[in-house]
Amino acid sequence: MNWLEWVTGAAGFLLTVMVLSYLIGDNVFFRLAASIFIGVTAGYLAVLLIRHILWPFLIQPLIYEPWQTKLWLGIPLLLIFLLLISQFPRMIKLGRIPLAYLAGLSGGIAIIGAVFGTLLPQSMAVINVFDAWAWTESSSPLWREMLEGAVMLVGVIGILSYFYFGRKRNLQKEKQAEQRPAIFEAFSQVGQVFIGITLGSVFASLFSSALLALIDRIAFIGKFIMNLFRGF
Amino acid sequence: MAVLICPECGAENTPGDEYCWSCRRALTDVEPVNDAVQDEPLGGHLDELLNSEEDLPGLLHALRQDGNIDGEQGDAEDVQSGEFHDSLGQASSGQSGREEEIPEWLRRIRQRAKQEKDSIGEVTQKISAAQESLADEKRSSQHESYADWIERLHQDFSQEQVAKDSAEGAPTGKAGQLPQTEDPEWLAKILKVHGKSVEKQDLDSLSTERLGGNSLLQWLVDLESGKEKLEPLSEEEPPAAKQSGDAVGEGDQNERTVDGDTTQEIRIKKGTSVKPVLSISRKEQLEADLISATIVDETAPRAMRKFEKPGSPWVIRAAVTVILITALSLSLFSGASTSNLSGSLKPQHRALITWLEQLPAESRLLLVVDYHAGFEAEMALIAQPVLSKAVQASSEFVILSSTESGVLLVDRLLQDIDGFETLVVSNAGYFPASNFAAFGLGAGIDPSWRFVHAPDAVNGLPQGDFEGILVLSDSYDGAKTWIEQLYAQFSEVTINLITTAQAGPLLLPYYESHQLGGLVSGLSEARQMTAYLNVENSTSHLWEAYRTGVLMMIIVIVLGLFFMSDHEGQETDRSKGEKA
Repeated sequence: MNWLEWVTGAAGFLLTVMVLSYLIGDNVFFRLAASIFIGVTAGYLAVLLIRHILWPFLIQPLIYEPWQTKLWLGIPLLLIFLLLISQFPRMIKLGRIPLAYLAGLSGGIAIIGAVFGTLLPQSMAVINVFDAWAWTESSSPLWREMLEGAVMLVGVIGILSYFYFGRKRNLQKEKQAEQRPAIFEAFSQVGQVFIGITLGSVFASLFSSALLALIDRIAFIGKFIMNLFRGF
Repeated sequence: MAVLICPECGAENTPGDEYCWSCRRALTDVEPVNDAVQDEPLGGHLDELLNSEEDLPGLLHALRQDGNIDGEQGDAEDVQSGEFHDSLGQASSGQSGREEEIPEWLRRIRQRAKQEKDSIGEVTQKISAAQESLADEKRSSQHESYADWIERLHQDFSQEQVAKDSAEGAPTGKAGQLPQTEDPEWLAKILKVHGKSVEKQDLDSLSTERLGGNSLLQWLVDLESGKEKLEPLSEEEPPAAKQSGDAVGEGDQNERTVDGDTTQEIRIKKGTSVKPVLSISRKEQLEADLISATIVDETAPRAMRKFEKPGSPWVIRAAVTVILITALSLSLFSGASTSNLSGSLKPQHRALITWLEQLPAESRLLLVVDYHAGFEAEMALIAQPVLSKAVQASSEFVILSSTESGVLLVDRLLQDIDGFETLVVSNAGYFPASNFAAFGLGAGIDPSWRFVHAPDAVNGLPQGDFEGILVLSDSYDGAKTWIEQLYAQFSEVTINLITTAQAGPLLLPYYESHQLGGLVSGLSEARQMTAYLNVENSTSHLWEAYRTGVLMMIIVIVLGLFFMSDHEGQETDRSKGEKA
């Protein structure tokens, strides 16, 4: 091990132990490690944004592009300026303009992505399960295809029924508002089963990832200690 | 309309409800009360009120209403008479009972507002603002207002008497003066209600001696000036008044309709001075009830069981930690797993392997890196077999990162792969997903619509055609966003996903909908892929530790179930004991 590996290895070892100390409760070592990680990440992100966003898309064109293009760059510069001066209490309203632009853009992108990237394709996938022509072409047995379609149908209806909140809230008649039509109540019971299975699966998956991270850190600590002894 | 008033939070419930809609307290022991005072405006005539057992405030309010019917008084007098009404209400309850007159919910709101300035919100602010502004405004003119109102009342009554006497042919006195020998029956009612029960024959002496010879008006003036005092109403209060008082806060509350919206007048009582009138809507009243119920939740003892999670001692946590780490370490350093693989490849794995095998030589791949440093180990285990095969067939990787450390992480990942040295790696930069989508939107604009010299949005996107796209993601949200955006812009290119175990199950529907060409997630799937592709990596070394960790989790969950059920049993026993 050279000196750089020693330093980085020791820093990694110490930070790992400091984070793992949270297992016995919140303490100053864990908070110190968390603060270090947050600070380093923020600093790194700032450098990254300057290098990959501001420099190629703003500063570089301002230097090298013709003046007509520079005029176009006045728009983002103005938005940046408004956002900066909104930090002053009297100018806080001006900050709404760039924020509104960002919110509108993000909202538009998210909606387009959700509709055309998730909602429509997923709906089509649900519908295609009931394509009888596809059943005959599938290599799976027919009964399995039909069973899959039936489970899909019951699951979709059950979960949609569970999230049915179509009635207006009435504070005085809250008890009545909680009562949904009987058919929705029945399907929502089925939907709860599907939701429970889904959440259980998500929990197991989360645990699996966390466990692997822990194993990796234990392996790192063991490897570092072994290298330490080999060095002596 | 009869209602059930919850004794816990004061919320109104319809008859027949078993539990309070607000605080869920059982209402089986609650008697329904008449809500007429709240639901119907108090606009009855004096004669109607005289025939019923009304309290003094209600009766005086009826007097005011009677005066309004005669058309002499405007809206402004509502406030004046309301203040007078309020002062009588205060006097009737006595100095010592002033605090008890404040509605319970209002008292709690005030207490809370003293502790936390902004804890209550709009209702309290409205009350405070009304108190300050109206108290200042009315303090200087209240005596004149009362005098005017009493004078008008006096004149109206005199006119009524004159008209009545003239209709009956009896001789009348001087206009503006009450005949002292004919004190009305309602005066006897007032006195009777307030413990000053007198016989009809004693009214003459009351009129001349007790009331200073000026009947009710003089008596009211004496009340105002403090010469006259009323007995407390607490024990002799009529049932109807008591019910309404319980429901809406000591009965000092009226209801009226303004611009189609039902509002309630609440007289705020504080100190000895006359208090302003506050008009709040029905909705605000309900919100105040809810706030009151919330405050009750925090302070009052509840019938509902409170689950107090006992904090486990740090010794136990330390012991569990040591056991866990020791077990994982032993299984980790005991050597590679020799257990055989079970089960066949899933369709999404087969699809990914097929795509890798069919990749043309010298192909160009787009690698989207969307995972963080915390998942580096897992992502490396999962991605390594796939990337090893991809490197063999590819000539260039274009790396696009949407996490801060993505480029660094993928550099470390690729350095461990054989053949990496011969690969051309292009860094397309750091692209937050929304940034990428914004460039995509810009690139989709028709060139003829572009403005002259405008910056070219296409420059922000990775250039060229790709034979395939590999998304390496550690979260559902990140992977979903990239699938959505890439599927919209590169619909002809196969998108494959390599993800952590925590995101895999939620992203499987994207494979079912054919938006993904292949998908692999988690250590167990990576192990199968590794074995099938015959690639060397450390999955077999970690597998035993992984299985040990899963086994320990199952043990902890089972033990937790036992301890939790035991704890719940103790709580149930304790709650039963408290009830007993």
